[in-house]
Amino acid sequence: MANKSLNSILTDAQFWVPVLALIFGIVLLTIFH
Amino acid sequence: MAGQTLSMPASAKARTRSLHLLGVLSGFSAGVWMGAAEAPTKFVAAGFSPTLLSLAMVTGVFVGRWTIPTALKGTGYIFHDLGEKKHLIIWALLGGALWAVANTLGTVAVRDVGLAIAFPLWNTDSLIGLMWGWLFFNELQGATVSVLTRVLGGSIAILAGAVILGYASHLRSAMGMHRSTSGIIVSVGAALIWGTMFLPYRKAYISGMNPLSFVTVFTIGELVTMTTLALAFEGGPQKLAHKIVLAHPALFWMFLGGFCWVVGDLFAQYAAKYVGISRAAPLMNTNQLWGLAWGTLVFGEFSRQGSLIRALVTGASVIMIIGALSISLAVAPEEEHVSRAVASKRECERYGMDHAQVEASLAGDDPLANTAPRRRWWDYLILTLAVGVFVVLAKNSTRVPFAVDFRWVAMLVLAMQGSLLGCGYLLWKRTRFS
Repeated sequence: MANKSLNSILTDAQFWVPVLALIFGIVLLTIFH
Repeated sequence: MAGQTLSMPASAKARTRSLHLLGVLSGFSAGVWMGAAEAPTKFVAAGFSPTLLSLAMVTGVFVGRWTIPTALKGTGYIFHDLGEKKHLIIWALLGGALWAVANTLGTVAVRDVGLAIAFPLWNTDSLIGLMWGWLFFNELQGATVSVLTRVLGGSIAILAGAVILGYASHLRSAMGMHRSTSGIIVSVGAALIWGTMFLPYRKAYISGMNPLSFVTVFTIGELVTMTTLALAFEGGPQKLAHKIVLAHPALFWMFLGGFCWVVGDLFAQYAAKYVGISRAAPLMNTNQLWGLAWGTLVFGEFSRQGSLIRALVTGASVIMIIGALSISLAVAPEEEHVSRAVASKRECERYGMDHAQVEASLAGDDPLANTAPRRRWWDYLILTLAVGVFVVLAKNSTRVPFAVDFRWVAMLVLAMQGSLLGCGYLLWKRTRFS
């Protein structure tokens, strides 16, 4: 059940948008802070 | 029978309109409280590190979450809601992490180009939120030309007002743009991340989650991320601890800013739930007007300024108010609700949720009220401890290190109380804080 739920999250295209935004933000902070 | 058939759509329409009004009022109230939360940023000018300030505010947000919100719904209700929608926990953590990163980028932008340029650029986050709402959650799909014009026109007016306010602040400030390119890149980055933060908001509410449950996990995401960033940027645990001890007398004011932010954010969450992010995000951005009110009236930032600056500030404020009013009049037509229901159904099928229950929650009902556990003794203990933290910090605080006009503080606090009690009462009456 937990695997099914995790699979639903990971295969949800919407999930990767905030993940990529977070990585982008951390990269920006590392460069410019 | 015929009368019944005719009256049904009318009552449904009235329910839709009352929820729209509730969402709009929540958006305006979010602006009032989030504007007040900006006041402690004055401490940056008093020599406090931006990262430390952010960390103190986020800790205040976390503690603040266990005050009024705990009085509204007990922990049993929150954990029951989270247990039914476990997949949203990671979304709320992501939302909190995005806020912490965007806020730290924001402080870097203020350092590099000043608030005057950074703030209007951040406000483009509402357009990014609007794009995600349209793309992923079918927001504004099925809207009439008139509704589209009101929402888009209103968003652009609020943005234009922000740009003019920024220009007026720039004229006032003698601050040089010593790192303008990097500052602008960072400001745009912060807007992109803040705009994307609305995606987790909407994801939660299209699934019928209670905003109090979402905010609970969101504040944990904020606190963990901000602590990590502070440790990385302030030179490790020992140096950070030393700076916190030095900042101790001012911590109360920063925590108070965090408390204002959590109340504002709760209103923002209710706005996102009942009118969607395309309408909620620009309404929240009216916080700039309230931030301006604190700056000009309480801290006297625009005193002794020329008539041009005063005219620009007044004009920009009027444009922003007109923009916000335009959005508040854009009631979603039936077709837009149908599009939203399609997006909700898709979520229910993917994550195995009860669609009828989700729709009931989105209609302002509280389907969990009958099944969730009642308040327990530890809810009162948590509430007492959280309030206690604020009382202890207040006892050890010093006066703020800048001039304050207390008459205007009283007026603005009155406006905040009015929005809290007025909008809070309507939310309770119509949705029982669902």
